[in-house]
Amino acid sequence: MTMQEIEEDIIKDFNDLGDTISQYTFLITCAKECLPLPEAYRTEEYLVKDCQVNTWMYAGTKEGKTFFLADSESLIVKGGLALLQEIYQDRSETEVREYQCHLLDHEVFSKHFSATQLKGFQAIVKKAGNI
Amino acid sequence: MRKDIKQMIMEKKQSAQKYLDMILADRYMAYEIFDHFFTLYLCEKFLLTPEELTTDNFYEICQLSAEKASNLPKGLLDASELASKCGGATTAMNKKVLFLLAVNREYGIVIDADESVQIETFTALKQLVYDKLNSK
Repeated sequence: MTMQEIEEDIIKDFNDLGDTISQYTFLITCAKECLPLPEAYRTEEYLVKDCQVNTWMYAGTKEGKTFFLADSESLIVKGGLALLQEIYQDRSETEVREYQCHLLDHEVFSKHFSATQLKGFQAIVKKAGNI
Repeated sequence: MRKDIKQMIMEKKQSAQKYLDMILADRYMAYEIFDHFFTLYLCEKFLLTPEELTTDNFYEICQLSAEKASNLPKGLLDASELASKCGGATTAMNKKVLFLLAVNREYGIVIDADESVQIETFTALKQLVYDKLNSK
């Protein structure tokens, strides 16, 4: 699936789940799907500056493919990170360059986060777009 | 996998609906029967089994649900979230609010903000919902 198709599939999952508590449960359960962030990257250098909760992100490219590792002390944020990871992990630089992430524009997704958390996500999406 | 998680939650949602339908089909059922079905309804919503309800404290039940979903050890999730500066609400608090909103919507009752704050135990919640159903 393309990055865009994964994003649309994620939104479809939220819509299919329908009610808020099911969507919230889905999001926090997805948190355990988040690829682990090695301890070495839980430092000031990798903190996402616009996140009020401690959220770390280590992303880049290796052998032409992207990697996206992240973690957060907030379970709901970590769930969101797991979904972003699914979109951005193992992609070519071209794919990342051509993709515009609109996950945060969908109310079914964004309604589960506070304004502060969304600001942090925006920073994460911006960083991911520059991988 | 995301799809497996979605499938599991959809199945739990359908099971919760089944218990909701049983309660609404006979809203004047004996309290013991209501207790049984409402407990199963909560378990489906919270992805817990009745055996995992090891406390009557409602917030702690919400914590159990959040911890089970996250696979984190007992106590660790709340500790890290409360220590953070993010929004102020823990996952467990959010689960409590969302569950009460779902109960209001699905049972056609109103548990207002004052009543919500006073709900400390699952027993108290069950009694409140039962009383409200029976008053209609």
